Amino acid sequence: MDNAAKTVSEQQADRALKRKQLFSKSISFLGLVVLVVFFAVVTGGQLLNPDNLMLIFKQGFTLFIAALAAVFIMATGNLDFSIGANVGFSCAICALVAKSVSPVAGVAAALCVGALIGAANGVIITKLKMPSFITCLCMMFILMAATQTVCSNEGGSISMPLSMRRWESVGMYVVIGVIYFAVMLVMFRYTKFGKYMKALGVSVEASRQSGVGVDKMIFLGYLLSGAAAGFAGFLTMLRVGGASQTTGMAMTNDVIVAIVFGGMSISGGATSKISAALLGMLIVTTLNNGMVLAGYGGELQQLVKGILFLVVIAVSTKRDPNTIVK
Amino acid sequence: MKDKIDVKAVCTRVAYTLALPVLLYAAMCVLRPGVYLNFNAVVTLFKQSLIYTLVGWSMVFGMSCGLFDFSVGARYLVAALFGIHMSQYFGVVGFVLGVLLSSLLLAALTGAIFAGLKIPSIITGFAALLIFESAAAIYQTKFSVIVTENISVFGRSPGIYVMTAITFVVVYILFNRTKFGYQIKAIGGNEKVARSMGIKAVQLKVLTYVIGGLILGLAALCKVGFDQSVRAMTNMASMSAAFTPMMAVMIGLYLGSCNPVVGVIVGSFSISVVSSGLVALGINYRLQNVFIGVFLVIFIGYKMNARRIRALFRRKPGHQKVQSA
Amino acid sequence: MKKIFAILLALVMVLSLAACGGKDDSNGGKTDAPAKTDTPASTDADTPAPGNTDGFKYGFASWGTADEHGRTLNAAVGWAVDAAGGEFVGDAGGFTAEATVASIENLISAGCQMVSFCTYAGEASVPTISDMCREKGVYWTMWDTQIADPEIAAYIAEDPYYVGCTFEDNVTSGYETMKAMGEAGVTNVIIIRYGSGIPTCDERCEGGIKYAGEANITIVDDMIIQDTAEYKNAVANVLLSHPEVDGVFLAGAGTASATVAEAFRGAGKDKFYIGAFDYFDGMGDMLKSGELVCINGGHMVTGTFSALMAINTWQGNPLSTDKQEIIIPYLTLKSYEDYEAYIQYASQGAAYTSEELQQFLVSYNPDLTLESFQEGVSKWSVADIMARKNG
Repeated sequence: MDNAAKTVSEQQADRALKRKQLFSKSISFLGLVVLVVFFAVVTGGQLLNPDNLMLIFKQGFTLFIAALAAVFIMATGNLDFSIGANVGFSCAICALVAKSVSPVAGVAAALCVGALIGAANGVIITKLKMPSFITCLCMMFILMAATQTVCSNEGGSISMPLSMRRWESVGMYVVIGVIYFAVMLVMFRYTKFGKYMKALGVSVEASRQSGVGVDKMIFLGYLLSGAAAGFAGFLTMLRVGGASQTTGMAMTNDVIVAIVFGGMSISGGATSKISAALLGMLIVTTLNNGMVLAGYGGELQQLVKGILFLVVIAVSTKRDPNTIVK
Repeated sequence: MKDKIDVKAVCTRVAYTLALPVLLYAAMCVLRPGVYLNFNAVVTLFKQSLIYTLVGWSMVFGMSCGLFDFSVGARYLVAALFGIHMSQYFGVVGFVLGVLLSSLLLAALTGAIFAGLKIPSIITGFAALLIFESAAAIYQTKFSVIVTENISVFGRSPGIYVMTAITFVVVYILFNRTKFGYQIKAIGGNEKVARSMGIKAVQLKVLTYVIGGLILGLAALCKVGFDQSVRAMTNMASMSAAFTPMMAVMIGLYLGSCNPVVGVIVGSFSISVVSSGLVALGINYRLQNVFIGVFLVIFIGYKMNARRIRALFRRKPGHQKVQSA
Repeated sequence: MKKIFAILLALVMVLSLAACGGKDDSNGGKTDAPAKTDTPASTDADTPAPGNTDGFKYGFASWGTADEHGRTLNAAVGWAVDAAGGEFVGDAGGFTAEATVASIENLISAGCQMVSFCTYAGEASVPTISDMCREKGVYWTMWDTQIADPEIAAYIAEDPYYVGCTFEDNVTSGYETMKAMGEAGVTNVIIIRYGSGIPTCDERCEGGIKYAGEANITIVDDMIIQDTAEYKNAVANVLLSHPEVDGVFLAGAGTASATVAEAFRGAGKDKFYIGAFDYFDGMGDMLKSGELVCINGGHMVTGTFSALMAINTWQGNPLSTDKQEIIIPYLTLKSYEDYEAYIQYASQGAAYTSEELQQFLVSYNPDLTLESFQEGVSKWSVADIMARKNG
C-alpha cells in the first residue's frame, strides 16, 4: 500500500519533472524564434539578410567562447565576475606581445595570462577560503586597473600588427567554433570533471562525501574559465584591431545574461547544459543587432535586456520552498 | 549578556579593532609626515570615509545573512535623481521625502523580486542593476540635475555628522538590540538551524532589503550634498560605486573583534587612508582599486586562515602537516 | 503551456514597449517606416559611386545619450540629416572599442550609406572600421577625432570611403582656459584628465600647461581619474599635502566642477577657480559665483558638420579630393551673461535652421568650397547664434 502510493507519487513527480525539463528546454528556443520573427517583421526582413546573419555570428563569437566556459562555473551555482576584466587584460597583453615580440607569441601570452588569472582565482577561493564572489569582484577591479595602466603606458590603446588583420576569416571562426564546442560538450557531458561540476551545484557536501575532490574541481573550473577568457581576449583583439582601456568591460554582463537567456538555471546543478551558452549568445546578439536595425539603439537596450532577464528567470527557475536562497 | 565588564578584555578588543586603521595611518605618517602628522588630515579622511560608511551600513544587514546586492549603486542613482527632481518643486522636503520614499520603494521592489522569484541575491541585484541603471540614464535626460545649496546641508560639515550619528543609532539598535537583528545573525550563522528554530528566513531577508533601502536613502541624502552632482552610469559602471562600501562591510564583518556596525566605520576609514596614501605617495590614482582589492584578499585571507597561520608559526617546521583539501 | 504563453506575451510586450519608447530618443527622425533592404550605395569596392540624390540613412555611433554632451550631440547630428532630407539612425553602445565596432557593423547592416564615430575608446579599432566600410562601400567620418598614430593615419588615407574628420582646436582652448584662470588669480593648479592617451584630452592639457609655464602658474598635480565620483576625494587629498592649491583645470567631465568646488569648501578654502570642458546642468550658478571662470562646450556641432561633410561626398560633391579636416570652435562661456545668452539662443531647439545648414551642402549652395565651409563653421559662437536668431 505504502509502496504503491509512493510509486504513484513518484511517477507523478517524474512526469512533472519531465514536463518541466521539456519546458525549460524549449523555452529559450521559442524565445529565440519569437525574437527572430519579431525583428524580421519590424526590419522588413533585413534581420535575415545573409550578410546580417553572418554579422550576428561574428559579433557573438567572443561571447560564445567565454560563455561556454562560464557554464562550468555556473553549473556549480557560482559566477565568475572577473571574466570580462580578464578578457580585457588578456587582450591588452596579447596586443602588446604581438606588437613587440611576434603575433604567435601574442596568442600564447593571451592564453597563459588568462589561465594564470583563472588559476589565481581558483587558489584564492580554495586555499584561502575566500568567498568566490568576493574573490572575483576583487580580481575584476584589479584587472580593470591593470588593463588601463598597460594601455595608457602605450598611449591609450594598443594596435595589433597590421599583418594580423588577415587572420580573421569566416573559415577560422567556423573551425574554431565547431572544435571548441565539441570539446566543451564532451568535457561537460562525458568527463568526471563536467559531471562533478554539476554535482557541486546540487550539493557541495554530498559531493564531498561521495569522494569528489571539491577544491580540485573548483580550481579546474576557474582555470578553464580563465583560459577561455584569455582566448576570448585574443579573438576580441582580432575583431577590434587592438586593445583599449575599456576592452571587455561589457563582457561579464553579456555572459551572465546569455547563459540565463539560454535556459540554464542560475543555481546550477543537474539541469545545467552547455547548449545554453550557444542559444543565449544568439538571443543576446540578435537582440542587440535587431534593436539597432529597427532604429532603437541606446540605453533602451539595457532596459529591455534587464526586463527580459527577469521574465526568463521568473518563468524558468524551479522553486522548492525548502531550498535556501542567498 | 550583561555580566561584569572585563576591563582587560575590552581593552584588548579595542586594541585589535583599532590596530588596522592605526597601523595604516602610522605607516602613512612615517612615509609622508608633512601631510599626515596633523589633526586636520584625520578629520578630512574621516569625513571622506563617512559616505562609504553610510552606504556600507545599508548593506550590513543583507551581507550579515549572506546576501550580496549589486544594485545598491543603481538604486542610489535613481533615488538621488528623483529626490533632486522633487526638490525643484517642493524644496528640501521634496528632496528628503523623494529620496527616502523612492529608495524604500526600489529596495522593496528588489526584495520582492528576490523573494518572489526565489533567485540568489547576486542575480537579483544584477537584474535590478540592469534595469535601474538604464532607468536612471533615461530619467536623467528629462530634467536638469542641479544640486542646490539648501539640499546640500546633509553632505556638509555639521549636517553629515548629525546624519551619521542618527544613522548609526538606528543601525546599531536594529542590528544589536532587536529581534530582527538577532534573527538575521542566526540566519547568517546557520540558516538551516535558524529555520528549524522557527525563524522565517525569507520574510527576514526581504526585510533586510527594505531596511537597507531606508538606510541607503539616509546615505543618499548625504551623498548628494557631498558629491554635489549625480551622473547616471550604464553598462554596470554603477557597480564600482558599491565596491568600496561593500569592501568596508567585508572588513567590518571579518574584523571579529568588534561589532560589525562599528567595524564598517573602521573598514571605511582604513580604505580612505589607503586611497589617500596612494595619492600622497604619488602612485597613480587609478591603481587604488588594485590596492584595495589586494588588501582585502590579504586581510580576509588572513582572517579566514588565522588559526592555520598561527599554528604554522607555533609548530616547529619539521612537524607541520601540509594542509590540502 | 500557460507559462509559455505568458513568456511569449511578455516578450512581445517588452519589445513593443521598446519600440514605442525608442522614438523619443531618436531626435524626431523619421523612424516610423522600417527600412528598405537596399544594399548600400555601391557594392563595387574601392570605386565610390559618382553621385546620389535620393533619401539616405545616416548612422551615428556614440557612447550614450544619458549625459548632456551625448544627448546634444545626437540631436545636433539630427539637424544636419533632417536638413539634407535623410534619416538618422543612432546607436549608443557604451565606452568600449568592441561596442563601437559592433555599432558600426549594425548601422551598416541597417542600410546606412554613411556612418560616423569617435575614437573615445582608443584608435586601435580605426583600421578595422575602415576595412568594414571599404568592403561595404559606405562613406565614413570621424567626429571629435584626430588620429595621432602615423601608421593608422597612413592606413586610412588609402581608404577611398574615408571622407574626413572634425575636431576642435584643443590646444588653443586649453591655453585660453588656463589664461582665464590665471587672470582670475590662480597660482597653484591641479590638472585632472578624464582618461589617458586620448588626444583630445591631452591637447587640452598641453595648451593649459603651456600657459601655466608662461605665467608662472605652478602645476601641483596632474592626474588621470575616470570616475567623476572620485574627483572630490582626489582633490581633497591633494589639498591635504598642498593647501596652497587654488585652481583646478578639468580637461573634461565638466559636471565634476561642482564636486571639485565642494572639495575646496570642505578644506576651508573660499577663494578658488575652476576652468573646465564639457557643459553641465548648474554651470550657470557656478559662473555667477565666480567659482567657474571658464567653461568650453557646445562642440556637439562636431557631429553636425561631419555629417554635412559626408553627405556632400555621398551626393557626389566632395569638397576636396583629399581627406577633409574641419576645425570646430568651442562655445566658451566666461560669465553669467555668456551663459544667459547661450541658454536663450542656443540650448533650446536647433542652433541652426535647416536653411542655414543647407548652405553647407553643395546641392543647395553650388559655390561651396572647403575653405568657405570651414569659414562658416568657424563662425560658431554665442554671438553668431544671437545674430542669426535675431536677424
